[in-house]
Amino acid sequence: MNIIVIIRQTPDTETKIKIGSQPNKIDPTGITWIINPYDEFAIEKALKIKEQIGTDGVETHCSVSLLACGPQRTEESIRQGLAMGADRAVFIKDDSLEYADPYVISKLLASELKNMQYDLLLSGKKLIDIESSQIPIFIAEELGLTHVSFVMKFTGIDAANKKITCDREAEGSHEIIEVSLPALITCDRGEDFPRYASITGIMKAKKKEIKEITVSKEEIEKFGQRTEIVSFDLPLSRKEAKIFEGEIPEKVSALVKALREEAKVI
Amino acid sequence: MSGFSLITDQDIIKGFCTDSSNYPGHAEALIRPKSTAEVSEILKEANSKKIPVTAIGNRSSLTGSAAAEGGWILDTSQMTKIIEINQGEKFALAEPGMMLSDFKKTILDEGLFYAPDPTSEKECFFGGSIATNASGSRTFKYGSTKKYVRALEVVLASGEILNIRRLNIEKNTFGYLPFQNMVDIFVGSEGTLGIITKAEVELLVKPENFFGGMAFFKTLSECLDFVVNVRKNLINQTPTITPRAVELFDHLGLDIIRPDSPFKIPANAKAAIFFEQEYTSDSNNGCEALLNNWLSFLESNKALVDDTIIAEQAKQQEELRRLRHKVPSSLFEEGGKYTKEGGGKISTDWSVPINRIHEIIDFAKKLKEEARIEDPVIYGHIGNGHPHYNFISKNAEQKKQILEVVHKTCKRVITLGGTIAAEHGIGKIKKDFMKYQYPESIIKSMKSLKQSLDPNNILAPGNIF
Ligand SMILES: Cc1cc2nc3c(=O)[nH]c(=O)nc-3n(C[C@H](O)[C@H](O)[C@H](O)COP(=O)(O)OP(=O)(O)OC[C@H]3O[C@@H](n4cnc5c(N)ncnc54)[C@H](O)[C@@H]3O)c2cc1C
Repeated sequence: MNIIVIIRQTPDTETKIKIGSQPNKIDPTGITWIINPYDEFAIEKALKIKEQIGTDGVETHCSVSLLACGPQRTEESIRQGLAMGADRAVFIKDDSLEYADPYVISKLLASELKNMQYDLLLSGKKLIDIESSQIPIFIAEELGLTHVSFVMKFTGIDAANKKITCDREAEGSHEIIEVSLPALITCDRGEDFPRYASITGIMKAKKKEIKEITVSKEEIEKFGQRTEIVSFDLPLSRKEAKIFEGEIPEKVSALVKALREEAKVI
Repeated sequence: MSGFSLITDQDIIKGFCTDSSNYPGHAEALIRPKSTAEVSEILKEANSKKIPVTAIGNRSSLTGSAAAEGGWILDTSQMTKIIEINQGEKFALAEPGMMLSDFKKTILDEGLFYAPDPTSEKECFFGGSIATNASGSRTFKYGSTKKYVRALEVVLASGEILNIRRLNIEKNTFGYLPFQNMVDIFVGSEGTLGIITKAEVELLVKPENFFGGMAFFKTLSECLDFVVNVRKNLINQTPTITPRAVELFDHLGLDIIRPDSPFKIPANAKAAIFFEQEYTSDSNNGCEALLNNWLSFLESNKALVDDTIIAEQAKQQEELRRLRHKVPSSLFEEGGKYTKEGGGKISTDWSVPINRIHEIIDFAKKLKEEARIEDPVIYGHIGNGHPHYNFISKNAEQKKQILEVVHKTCKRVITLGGTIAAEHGIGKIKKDFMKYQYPESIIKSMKSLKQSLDPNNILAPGNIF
């Protein structure tokens, strides 16, 4: 089974975003870049499938590849994904892709995927920076693939018959969906903690292949942006709220303690 | 009556009478001064009436030092200003009442670094950390709080405001050595000699970057060998690895963090080391070179290398520190369940020179087996030869048995050249141990220092002596 995880890089969730000199750009200084957290969940899910397939005796082959597009700095996140345990990566590298819109990115990724072999495409349910869920779904459309979104976990993998069962949280309920492969699935956290890279994993990752693809300006322009970021605004700052957990008596005494000891109002 | 107000409502005061040791304190009033002048006025009045005054920070003390034995509680939480952050000379001047982690964050946001990092940094004050000479995991590289205190404003029992500064010279023969740097008299004095109302501390350039990690071992003994070798390696002219933190989890410590650990703790691991390593963009000290060195070091020291995890991202690093904190905080909760029956948590704070670590751990194990008490959780600052032993006693009888073992261990610690209280101080619950460490004549001279600075014994009575 070949799994490809489509990943993007986003600023760390702790980053204090500053708007750049142009209102439609953010100031990149001091930003720590990370794998988009939902894409990291997708990597974790892929690696779990690989571990499971390795042990079920029916099919032993499973490979996990990463596919990313973005500016040079994206390579660091790709290495992190490889250190977690992915086998190889394909990287569409171009600095002009920093602000490319989801449509252009999905076109680029889809055109690369047409040259790759896969049974299962995974990605995060959304990008945390621009709050967009479009890219993977555009890709599914472009490749004519079935897609299931917001999947919490996989409850069954039938590698021999090329089927996968997804558990997807819907309003107050769970939908269990069985799909035939190939398919594209976008991932939620579920119960997954993305694994930490092991020291040996990091060392091995340095030797793993990252196939770099360069694209010409014309190719990018050919797809034509469909959206444009006109400007960014920072949200208005809000006072922190504190929520007390537990039974009512516990909550009340915690509240009184906080009013006394932290807020010092009583 | 004077310009400060006393809160005398016992319902309010009750909330401020103990600390993280659960030592039962009591007081007649609570005062929350906002300035040095007010502190001075309070002490003048208290001194004239011989009323005890116990200063409190955030009461995270583990020795009862912040639990008042009568009189007034002087709460420093309203004095929270950072008066100056000096980029050029790299120091900060601040009042005592800010949470240490908030203070450190403000410094970090300015591109500078305040090194002391007690595990309790999110629950102790800047001032409290100075009054206890706190240390933490990064003490391995950076030393304890004392090293960073450049100057203090202290209000003495008489109300006199003292401004003292550490001498910035290499040579000095003027007076008794312990008095030459007057600042050191007050750092770690647990509220007994004066009240710290301002402190100027040295800041460092923010380390460029670091990674955290956790290495697992099949036995505690192999884990200790690793630590001893880390220290040996550091004395080399060109040490291959230079961790800033080397912290231990024994198998019971691992059991505490296992349920919500975000990474796999191998089933055959009986001990682990949490470490942090700084690196720079310079290739010799770069991330890749250091990771390579760590890998060979771990391999040659019998670590379970394939299970050794590395935390490169900030959230992962924070998570490792959270797990480290979880050990003492969950034991504190566990111990709290048995206080009614006369039991509770008993924690040791001794440390020994690193080359004696095997010896003392073997000795403590033998004592424990002979006494047939339950296994303690062993964790903490092993890089400094400073593991904490936390015992949970379920009743008074068990507590007595455990304390016997602890006393015997502490006596041995002294013969091995160690200390009984490496970071938590003496407070009210470690006073009995003083006689093991110091000759009676020296204890007397410490008492006379206290007597001369605080003749009416109003400051934090019950602490230390
Ligand atoms: C979970 C946990 C982990 C811990 N880990 C560590 C650790 O890693 N390293 C370590 O060193 N300690 C540790 N401690 C102990 C404790 O947190 C430290 O001693 C801390 O520095 C105390 O600060 P505080 O503000 O809570 O002071 P308090 O507990 O309120 O007071 C401690 C002493 O300082 C005196 N004092 C406070 N403020 C002043 C002032 N302004 N002037 C004069 N005297 C004052 C008090 O009178 C008292 O004697 C830990 C505690 C807990 C609960």
